[in-house]
Amino acid sequence: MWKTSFIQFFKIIRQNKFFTFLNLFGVSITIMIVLIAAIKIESTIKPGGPERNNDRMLFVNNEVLSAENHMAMGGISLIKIEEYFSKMTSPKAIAFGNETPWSYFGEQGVEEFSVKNVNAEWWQVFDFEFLEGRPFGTWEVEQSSNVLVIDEKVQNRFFPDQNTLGQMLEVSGKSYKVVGVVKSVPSNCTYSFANVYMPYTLTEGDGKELMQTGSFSMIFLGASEANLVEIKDEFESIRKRIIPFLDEGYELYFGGPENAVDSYLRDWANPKHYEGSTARKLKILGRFFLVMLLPALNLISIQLIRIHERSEEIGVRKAFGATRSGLIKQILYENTLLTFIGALLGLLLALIVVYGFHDLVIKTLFNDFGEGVSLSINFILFIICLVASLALSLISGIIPAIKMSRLEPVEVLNGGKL
Amino acid sequence: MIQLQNIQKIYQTRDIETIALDQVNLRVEKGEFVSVMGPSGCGKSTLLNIIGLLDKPTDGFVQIDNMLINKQKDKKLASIRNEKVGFIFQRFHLINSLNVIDNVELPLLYRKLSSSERRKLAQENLERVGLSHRMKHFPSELSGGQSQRVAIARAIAGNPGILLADEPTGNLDSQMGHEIMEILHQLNKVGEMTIVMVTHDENLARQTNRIIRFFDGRQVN
Repeated sequence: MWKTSFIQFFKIIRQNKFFTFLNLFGVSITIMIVLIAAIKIESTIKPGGPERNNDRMLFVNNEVLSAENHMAMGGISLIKIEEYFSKMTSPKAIAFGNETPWSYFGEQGVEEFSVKNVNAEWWQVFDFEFLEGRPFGTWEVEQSSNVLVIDEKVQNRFFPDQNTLGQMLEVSGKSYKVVGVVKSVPSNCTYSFANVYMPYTLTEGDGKELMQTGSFSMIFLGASEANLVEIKDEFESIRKRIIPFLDEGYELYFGGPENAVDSYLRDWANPKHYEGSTARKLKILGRFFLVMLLPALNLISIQLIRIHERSEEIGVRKAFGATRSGLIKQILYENTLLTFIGALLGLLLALIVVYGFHDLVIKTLFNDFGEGVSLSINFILFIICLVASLALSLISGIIPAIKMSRLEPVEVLNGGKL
Repeated sequence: MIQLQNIQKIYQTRDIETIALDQVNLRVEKGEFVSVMGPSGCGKSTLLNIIGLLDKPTDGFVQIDNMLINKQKDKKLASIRNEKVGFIFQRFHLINSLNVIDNVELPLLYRKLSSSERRKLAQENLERVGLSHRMKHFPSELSGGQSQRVAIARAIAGNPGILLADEPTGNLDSQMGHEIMEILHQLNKVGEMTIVMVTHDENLARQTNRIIRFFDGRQVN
């Protein structure tokens, strides 16, 4: 029976090429857009590279000092990290660092590089791939040793044909010894990305008073996901311990510690959200559903029109022996099959766009910050989209199918209304 | 054999009640060729739809081959329509997306037949109406007469005992109408099919065994 229905399906979809096209177009384009948009989100919240273990990481990016008539917002001040948070015992490792640009004036004009000033545990928190040499250690950081780790890009630029380790590299007017070379980090790894890493003690640092904000970020690595709760609790108790040392009337909030998803969803401009981002998530989910409502309504209306358009055929089938249940099955089978084909087309289009127009997609999704980002389609998301489309197709088809099958054959033959 | 007893069909809208058939009693014997005549709106097509189980009477009993069908469930009604009755409509009602042979195969899809058996039966019946050379054509490529011949082949593909024809020549010129009547007579005489035909054409009606006349939903002869 299914084989016959399958063959009949292809004959039937030829009947209304326009609606078939609309149906396939709607489903496939929607799924393609969702899959491509997901690349951007996924590459931010699950970037891979040195951050491949980010499900065990908690991030703190900002602090807010606020009183009734005053508010200061910025990165975390160094004093709070050195005096308080770096002494936390619950994390497996604590990384912190800030970023400074390095403009190199050479024969090829101005070249921009990114420099991160980091602590020694940076190399434990993030999973860098060392091509040569080693990271700098606690002692070198404490001693403010003039050492640095560079990435492949800097190596290829400054030491293309010679041994890199032990070479001196001049960065912003000072000379440093290269002790390690790491594989280039994709730029979507926003926390770990840089071209040059040096001990944070080599910079002057900022936020040396508790009443100042700074420019640092902190990343906690937990031993397990359960450990992350302990880290949050310990962080919160330290936050409360700091507040009495602030000027009277001031409160202290932090953008975290939170996982990569919460960090991505945070509304930076609104300090109220520093206490949690559930509302923000709901808002974004709400927007997503609103956006998805349009193709969903489109699919439902096309399915309804298709069934109505086929009323004469349904009447003929009833007149020649089709049962009510048989007709419902046939209509739902055809709707589902058409949606399934649409979804596969969507996947195919997404693959063509992602792999055929790789550079264009990188430029569109990441502007000029897509260096080294690898694009890949999330097949689990595709399965979710597929199941959602099929469910929608079944739901939108079942009521008109039942109504149409209930009409007397003569009513359907005469163009009976649903 | 078809038997109708005290058939009444009332169409009810919010404001108006229309009696389409009123106390109709009718018996058509096996192998008879009967024509039903009357002015437009007198209930001819309604009668045919009720005999063919395409519509339900408001009151009264319908018997086909001594089986009372009023209380039958959807599955049984579908099976009777499929095995015992074949329809020919004035507007052909061919499925445009299917080619000629697929249209003829349609009633056979609801029987337990293999695809090769269905194809063979459909081909034989297309040969009976002289259209075996048009098997792969689509309805839009056929003339009115050819379309009606495909509709006849479809109606007889399942070898039903009863053929119901609702103005089968109504959309055709006289030459094509004549050809269709030839086929119907052939099916009645050689195939021993019981045929009930609704028509406006007195000449065509005279060619059948019996004429049943209707006026305002009532049988008048």
